[in-house]
Amino acid sequence: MKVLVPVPPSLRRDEDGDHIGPRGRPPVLGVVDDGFGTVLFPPVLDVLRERLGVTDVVYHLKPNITAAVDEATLDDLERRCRAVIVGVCA
Amino acid sequence: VTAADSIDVDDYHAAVEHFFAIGWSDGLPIVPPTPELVEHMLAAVPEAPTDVIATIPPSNAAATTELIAINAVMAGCTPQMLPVVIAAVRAASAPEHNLAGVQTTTHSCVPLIIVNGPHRQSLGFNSREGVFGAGHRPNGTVGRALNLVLRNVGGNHPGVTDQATFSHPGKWAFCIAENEAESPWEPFSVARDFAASEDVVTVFSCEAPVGVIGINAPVSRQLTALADTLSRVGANNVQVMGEVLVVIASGNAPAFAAEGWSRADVQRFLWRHATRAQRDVAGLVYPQEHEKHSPVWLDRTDPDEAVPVTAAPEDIHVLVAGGIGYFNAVCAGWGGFGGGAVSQLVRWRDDAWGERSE
Repeated sequence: MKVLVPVPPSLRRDEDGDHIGPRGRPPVLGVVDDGFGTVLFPPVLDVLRERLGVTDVVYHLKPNITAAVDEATLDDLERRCRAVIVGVCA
Repeated sequence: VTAADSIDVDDYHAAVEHFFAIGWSDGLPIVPPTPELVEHMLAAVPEAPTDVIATIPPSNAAATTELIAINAVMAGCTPQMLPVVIAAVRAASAPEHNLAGVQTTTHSCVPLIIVNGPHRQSLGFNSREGVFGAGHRPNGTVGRALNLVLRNVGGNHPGVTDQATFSHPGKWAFCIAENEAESPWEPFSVARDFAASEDVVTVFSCEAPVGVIGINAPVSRQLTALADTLSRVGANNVQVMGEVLVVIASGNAPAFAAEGWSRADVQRFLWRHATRAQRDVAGLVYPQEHEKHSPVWLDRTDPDEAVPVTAAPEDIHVLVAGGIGYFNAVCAGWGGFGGGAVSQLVRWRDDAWGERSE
């Protein structure tokens, strides 16, 4: 019996989760935290460390949820990290 | 068909179990989307299978007609319902709806589909008793189809990208029709600048409905009770404005007509009475968020200042649905962050109803 797949091809790679997280070595992860991340991020980081070997995290905590991130910080994250998680949570 | 990938499974049960196992189901059994069923579904719409209807966050993947049809088959839709689902996808993904936020917020808002227009009855949408509940295929399957698209094409999964603290059962299906026939007012869609002859879908992301009692009460008394529920301090609206939905029960609608209340009268009354003193509102959200979304005329230095639930009366959406008039209902919104009502015309094939869709 043939059935069609209800997810787009780009998401089928999610089935094994292998693509999630920072690529390259060493896997350094950037985080822009809107203030909620201090609660939500630690368990995510545990998973990323266990499964993907994330070795270091560059953590930027915004002063409040609506604050913009300055360009210097973004440049720093881009230079040092292989991937960045931007936390937007309301 | 088909640009979509396919897989081979042993039989119906194997398909259902595979979809559970791989996370392509919403937690209920699905109808296996065979190529034949999907092809039949696609024949009911004017769009080509590869047409991109929208991009769905957080994956920002393209929701093609075909992918929407696959999810509609899974949800149990008939082909005639697919145009309604497509309109709902278009409405939900409109930039002003902020679907990325709706999909990932900690808040319990879920996209509610509101169906208006002449074909809502021929399709069998329920607009009376139990309108938010189970028991009617169009409400159940169209609502479910939208949620499956948001989940499967948007790549949105609870606890991963979907951070809703609680969510609510509308995440399975959240779809109503307006009871236009028993409303004292023009259809909700007409108030939103569509013609009464047009089939229209409006998507508004909101919490589950809260019933508000008012048995044989004068309209002003019913509205006072609704205003009290609208202005609960724990709701996002009195904190950060946005939009709300008020559903007047079909059984209560005649009283509004008899007393001569227009929809605008109801909106103004509710807006004036659904307020809380600023001292009651303070301290539950970041002050800067309250300040950002509140009307500029609000005196934030006065603890007695009456804080409204929306920035303007027009942001209180009012329609008629449901059954006997013991209760009306309120659906709180996400607030000024997004999820506001967006309406889209339902596009039928020219021969869908034996006539051109005007």
